[in-house]
Amino acid sequence: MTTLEQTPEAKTPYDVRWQRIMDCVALKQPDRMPAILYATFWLAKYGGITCKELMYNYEKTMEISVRAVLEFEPDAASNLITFTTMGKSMEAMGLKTIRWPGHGVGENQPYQYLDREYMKADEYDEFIFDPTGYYIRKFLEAFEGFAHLPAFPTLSGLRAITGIRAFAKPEVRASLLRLMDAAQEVEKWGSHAAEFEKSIKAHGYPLIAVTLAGNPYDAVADYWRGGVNIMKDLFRHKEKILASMDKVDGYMRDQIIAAAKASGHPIVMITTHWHADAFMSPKQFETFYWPPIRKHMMAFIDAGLIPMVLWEHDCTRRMETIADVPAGKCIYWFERTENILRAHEIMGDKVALRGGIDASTMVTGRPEDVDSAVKSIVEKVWAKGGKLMLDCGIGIPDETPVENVRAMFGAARKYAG
Amino acid sequence: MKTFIEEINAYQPDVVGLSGFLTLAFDSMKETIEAFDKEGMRGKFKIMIGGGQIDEAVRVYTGADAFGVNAVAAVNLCKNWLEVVS
Repeated sequence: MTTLEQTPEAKTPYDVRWQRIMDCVALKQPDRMPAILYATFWLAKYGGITCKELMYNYEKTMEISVRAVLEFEPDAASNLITFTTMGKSMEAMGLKTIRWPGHGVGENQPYQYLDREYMKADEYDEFIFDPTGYYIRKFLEAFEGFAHLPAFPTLSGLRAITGIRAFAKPEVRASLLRLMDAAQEVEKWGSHAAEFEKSIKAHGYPLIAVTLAGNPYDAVADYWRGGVNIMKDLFRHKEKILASMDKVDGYMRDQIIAAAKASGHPIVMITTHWHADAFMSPKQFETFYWPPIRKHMMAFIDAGLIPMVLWEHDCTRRMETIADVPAGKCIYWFERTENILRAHEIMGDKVALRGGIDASTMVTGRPEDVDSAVKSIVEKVWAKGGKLMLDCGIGIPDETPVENVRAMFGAARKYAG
Repeated sequence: MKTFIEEINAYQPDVVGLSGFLTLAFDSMKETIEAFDKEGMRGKFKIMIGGGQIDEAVRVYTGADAFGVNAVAAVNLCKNWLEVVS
């Protein structure tokens, strides 16, 4: 890898671009509407390779990713390496909760999340009592030797000696070695991601965010109970959900703040999965989902960070509730353009908005349709004072024709500076 | 696609649903529905597609009979097609 250093000539456009993002967050009108580049497997289409190659070939993915940034000249980009080059790391970890191109799905298909019951309902108490132990025994089940590990809180006094004898077992040592080997691969992946940031920075382009955060409800739902089961738990095991979220809350919050501060990048992207209008009632949203995520957001703001929530799915019935945030402190990214329009109406004086172009337009439309969609969102939001950062619903859909992406970035400049 | 066709032949359903909820799959839906056409089975059942980013443009693009954005919409589509009286 060759590391590019940012020249003084590149620093100025970098600073100008970053200031546009910061102006939007602070609810000031920047000199032009920022346009953001976020993509995952669309890069395979752009680069003319398979999704599998994108997952396994660090160098090729790096070249394609940097090329995309240089062609589209966004005001900020996501780290295009992060979610596209994980194949070797996922294999090394024996990840069973997700399938990826060439590993459970076709070479040109994207990730497939597997909604399973990874934790049984009657295991909630075990998880709540000792989430770390539960994680080691259950989530890391591919590392079979860890089943022999001692109960760490008991390892004091002479137990500090006798208790570690388990580490001499061949199966424990094998699992530890395997975990260390996996970590080496993850380190390689992380180094490439850092290299991407340096490369685009050297060319004058900032990352929109570095730190990725989940949220307490989804942490319990995604990879423990599964989305289907946690919907039943909303009726059958309410207290267990609340207790589990309370347990993971502190771990998540402190780790995210530490990671964001170490990165030197203030924006923290918070993903959302199981909150959609179709998944829970407004009352359930206000009881289970919103309080912990808002608590995180406020903690991040207090730590000098900028929460950027990606509100997936349809959030029409959530709008009044999620408007309860301090003004000029956060970014809301909506998957659906109709949600952006509504958010602009009821909280445009509080939050910066991201998104604006639906996946259906990008994938099924012609370049002129994309141009019209950009013109429309500019007129309805940006031209009316909305602090909009143009993007698609969740970045560029994988199946988008390349000419439509060119149309999107071209129209952003044509209609909004 | 092969699995879809095998299962359809085995179960003879009235309705086939394709979900692109967690992962966008507009092209996969289109190709799957085209495969139904090629197999000569297109008229034997209704096809609905669903997901948070599905709209009328995607329905037309894929060639599905109808779309919905949530499970309740899917139930209502089935009730309507099968003339189920609530």
